[in-house]
Amino acid sequence: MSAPTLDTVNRPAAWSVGEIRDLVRSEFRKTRSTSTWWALLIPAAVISLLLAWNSAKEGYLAANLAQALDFAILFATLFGALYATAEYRHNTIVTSYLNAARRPKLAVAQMILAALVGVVYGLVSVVAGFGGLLLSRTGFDGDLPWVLTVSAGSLPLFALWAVVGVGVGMLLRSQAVAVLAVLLYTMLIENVAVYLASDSPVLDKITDYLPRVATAYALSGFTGGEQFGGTFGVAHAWWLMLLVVAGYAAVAMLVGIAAARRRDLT
Amino acid sequence: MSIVEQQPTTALRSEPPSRSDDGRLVVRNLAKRFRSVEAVRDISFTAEPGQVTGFIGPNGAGKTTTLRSLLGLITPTGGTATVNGVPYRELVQPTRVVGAVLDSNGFHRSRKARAHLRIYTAAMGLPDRRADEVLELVGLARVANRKAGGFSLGMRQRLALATALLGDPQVLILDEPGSGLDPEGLAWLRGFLRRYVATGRTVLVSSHQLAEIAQTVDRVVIVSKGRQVFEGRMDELAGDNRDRVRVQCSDADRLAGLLARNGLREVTVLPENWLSIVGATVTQVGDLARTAEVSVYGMHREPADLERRFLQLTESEFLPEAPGGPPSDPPAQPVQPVQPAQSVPTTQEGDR
Repeated sequence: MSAPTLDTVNRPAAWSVGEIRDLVRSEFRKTRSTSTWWALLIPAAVISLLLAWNSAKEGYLAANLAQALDFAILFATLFGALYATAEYRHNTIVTSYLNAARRPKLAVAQMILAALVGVVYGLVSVVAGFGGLLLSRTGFDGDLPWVLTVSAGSLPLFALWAVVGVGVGMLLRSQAVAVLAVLLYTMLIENVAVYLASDSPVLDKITDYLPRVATAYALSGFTGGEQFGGTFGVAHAWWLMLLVVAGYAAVAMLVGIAAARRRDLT
Repeated sequence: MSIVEQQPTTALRSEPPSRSDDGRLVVRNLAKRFRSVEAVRDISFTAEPGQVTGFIGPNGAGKTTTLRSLLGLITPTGGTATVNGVPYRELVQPTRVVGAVLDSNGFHRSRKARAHLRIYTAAMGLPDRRADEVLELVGLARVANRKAGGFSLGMRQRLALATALLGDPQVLILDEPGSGLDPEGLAWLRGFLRRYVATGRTVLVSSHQLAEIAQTVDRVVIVSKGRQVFEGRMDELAGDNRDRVRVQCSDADRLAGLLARNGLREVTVLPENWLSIVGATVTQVGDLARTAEVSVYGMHREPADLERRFLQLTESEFLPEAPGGPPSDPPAQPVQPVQPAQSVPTTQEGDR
């Protein structure tokens, strides 16, 4: 029944740059043709502006900006989660997988797209944060170099957190559940964990490596030793904390891919 | 939404795709178990290029599970399902080989039809004009810039078909494409599928109604309760249940004798001078009655009751009483609109 010559034609598809580029272009069109990306970008910008403006009256500018961006990053994660789950919500996942029959390819394309959108969220939040700082101060004074360092350093964090959102979305599939999970974790669970662990010196050290804490440490590192939020110093090198966050993004993607890989779409 | 206007067929290649592979779908001993539920078991069939293969069974018979296994969306727990000899997931550029219409809800509601299609032209590395070509092909060109959320069920079916056609695939797999189409749309779809296989391509189409696709398909695979109960040509499905002519005349025995001498031996004499003749035409019987000098009081053709055969095969709970005996009210014999006689030429054409 099977013609032997076909085997050469239908070799299992290898990964090619061109193919991933096409898929990223497709993901870009998916994103652009819906409203999620700007609907979440607006609150990210507004919060950056307000937080930077409000806190700039006291303290150091770089630290204030870092604190504002730390909060704005949450919206990049929410974007990633909503973007990945929209495929299930609108049933487009079937068409996507028919095309990217090797499912991890689609996941990689979505990861790249989310990282790019994350950088856009970062840039817009930074600009809004600058606006907030300038609304309360007339100039950056001597803080400008650190303000710029925080701005640049926040961009990879925005990208990584958007990727975390994609991984969570791929795993959970439901928009409501994914959003709830992200919010519960960032606003509640991690804070409670840090609080409970603070009595034990050993546990306290370990909680430094929780995703949100590590992010705060990384941002803190970019301020050159200024503190924000009262708790964070430069106990850890920024690059180490950046690597920790990158590790979480990688784990989120791997878990998401593992869940999606052989999942039956009935 | 008028779609009967001349459809430009230029967007379909007129010659078979220039690939070295054949476009054959092969399902062998396919089984799928979802936790404790056995969805399908031991399904085996082949869909050949140049033919429309119908995949028929009641709702819940395992049609969708089988089709989705062929498309790599479901991982079978047993057996194989291949396209061109390999599992779907191993195809290079699968959407250039297989197009699939699975459900009519695979659209983001706020996305315009053209924007929806351009997502996939990008993914497949096709030029963007291909999106407009397929919209034209399915008769949606005028609503290209309308949001899919506002589409009727019929329009969504067409958009799903347009999506499947983007890659100009060699194989087309359609899951219940008829649902939601009005009679006009259904007629258009039948014509479209016939034209599609006429270029040497493969079509596999599922339906829960035999009548809906009996006129369109060359071969049928019938499934029921997750098992395959029939695979073969449409005329094989009819089996001994062939077309008959029923005639009431002044002397049934005399006519039966003449019919037998003219090669029509499968004649049943029924009460009240009714005859049931297998494999005859009304003209034949009418002419012979004249020769036999018997008066004809009534005569009608009785198409092979495929629907009944289908219900028997699928062990339907709704199987009607067998119409074995003579019709007590002769001309009122209910005839299902299956019209298998019209499917016969199609079958022969397809079989070559």
